[in-house]
Order: sequence, then C-alpha cells, then structure tokens
Amino acid sequence: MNILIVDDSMALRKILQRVIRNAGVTVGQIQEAADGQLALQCLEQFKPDVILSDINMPNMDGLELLKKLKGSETLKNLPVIMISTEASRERVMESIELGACNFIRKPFSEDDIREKFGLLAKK
Amino acid sequence: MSKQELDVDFLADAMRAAALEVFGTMLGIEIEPSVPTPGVAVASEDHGVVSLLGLTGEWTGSGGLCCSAECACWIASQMLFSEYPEVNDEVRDAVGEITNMIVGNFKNSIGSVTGPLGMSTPTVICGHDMTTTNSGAHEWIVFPFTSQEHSFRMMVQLQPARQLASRAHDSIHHMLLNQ
Repeated sequence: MNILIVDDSMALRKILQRVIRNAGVTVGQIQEAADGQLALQCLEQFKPDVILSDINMPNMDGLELLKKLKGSETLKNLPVIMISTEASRERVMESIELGACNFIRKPFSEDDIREKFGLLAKK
Repeated sequence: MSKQELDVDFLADAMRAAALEVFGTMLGIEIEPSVPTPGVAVASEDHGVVSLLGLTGEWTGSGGLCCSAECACWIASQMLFSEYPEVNDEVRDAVGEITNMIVGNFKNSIGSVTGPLGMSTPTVICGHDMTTTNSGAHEWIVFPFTSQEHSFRMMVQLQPARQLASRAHDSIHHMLLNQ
C-alpha cells in the first residue's frame, strides 16, 4: 500500500511512518507533505492508495485539501483519512461530509492505526 | 460554574487527563501531576523552551508547555527514538506537536463549558531567562508534571471573549479621553 502523509509536524510524520509499519500494515512507498498545497504537488507524481492528512496546517489545511481532492476527476476516489486533535463530533462529521473515509484522533496508538487501515482494506 | 471564570479543579482534571494520555500513548511514559498554581507569568528555566498556542471562541486565551532545554531534548528523544544533545528544529517540532496534542485534547474536554474553541498552530521559542505574560494581565494557571528526572509545566489562560473585548473597548476609550 502506497501512503501519502500530510502533516506540518515533521515529528508527527516520522511517528506515523513508524506506527503504520509497527501496526503490521503492508507498506509499499510512503511519501510526506507538510501542507495541503505540497500534497497536491506531490500527487502530480505520486499515486498513493490512501492519504492520511492532518487538519490544522498552514497554507492549505486538511479540509481545504479534502475539498480539492473531491473536486478533482482524477483524485476524487482516493481514500482520505483525517487525523487531528480537533476530534469534536462536529469536526468529525464535517470531515466525513466532505468525503473523508475515516478519522483518527491524536494521540493515536498502533491499535487505532491497525483498525482504520483494516476498515480501509475491507472497503 | 461562573461564566466569568473557570474552576481550577475542572481545568486541572482536563489538563491532567490530556497530558497523561498524550505522554502515555505517544511516548510510552508515565507522568505525575502536581498541584496547579496560579501565576501572572511563567518564567522558563535558565535555558528553556516555551511552546504556545492561541485559543479562540466564546472564551479566548492561550495554552502552552514550558520546560528546560534538557527536558525538551528528552521529550523529542522519547518521541522520535533519536538522541538530541541540544535543541534543534526537530526538538522544537516535537515539543510543538506534543503541546498541540495536549492543549487540543484539553480544550476538547472543557468544550461542554466553554463551547467549541479554535486553536492556532504552535509557536515554539527557545532561549534564556524567558517570561511569558498575557495582554490584559490575566493569570496563567500552571500545571506542573514530573517524570523520571524531568519536569515540565503545562499552562493555560482563558477569559470570556466579551470580557476581553470590553477591556479593549475601555482601553481605547481611556486613550481617547486622555488625548
């Protein structure tokens, strides 16, 4: 599985890579972007099977990225999992309504990642 | 609970739960909370790191983390499985993210009283003999934590947005009268 991780924190991107591998997800290539704009640039070259995106980021936040992806003919079917401390019911619903396939609350454990990727594989 | 101030025990419970969960889940470390204390300013250690986030909504203010440079390096080492002898971009980033997670979960927990709060991205500053104060001189509530040989402090300052707006209005009015 090819994965694009979008988060403005380098530390969080590193941790996500480690936790995804430790959770037993079969990983192909992982690429990283520090905000929504850089993610869109990355997607011109890289074809991930799933995007994990933070919400609260500078330049282009995760919800704006989600809107751009869902508005694109070529990218609209790409599964996006949002990951954020902003895990109020309203924020989760907003993400799902905009087209996210799931939501991970920070802090997260290996079990959380395993569960979300397991659901993705079933779909 | 008063609409003008938040109960310290209520805030302490929320901060304790958020910090314990973040350190336990992301760093695999048990931390020990101490009694919260009010304070106008929080001075960092001789060589310290301060990480701050803005909070907005019906209540407005700031939240943050304050620790020694040594403790910041220890947090980053535990988080990223690397050794950091001094504060660099990776250490600042790790401390900022930890602050983001703790304050983010804290503000979600107190949302039943404050209403939904927005949060800025963290600003992390490293330096000597730093002091943090708020415009309006509202007090910080400081929540000390210890683990192994390290200690750090979470801090928060919140006031009703209307109170802040009213204070700003009074200040402008006062300035105009004295012209």
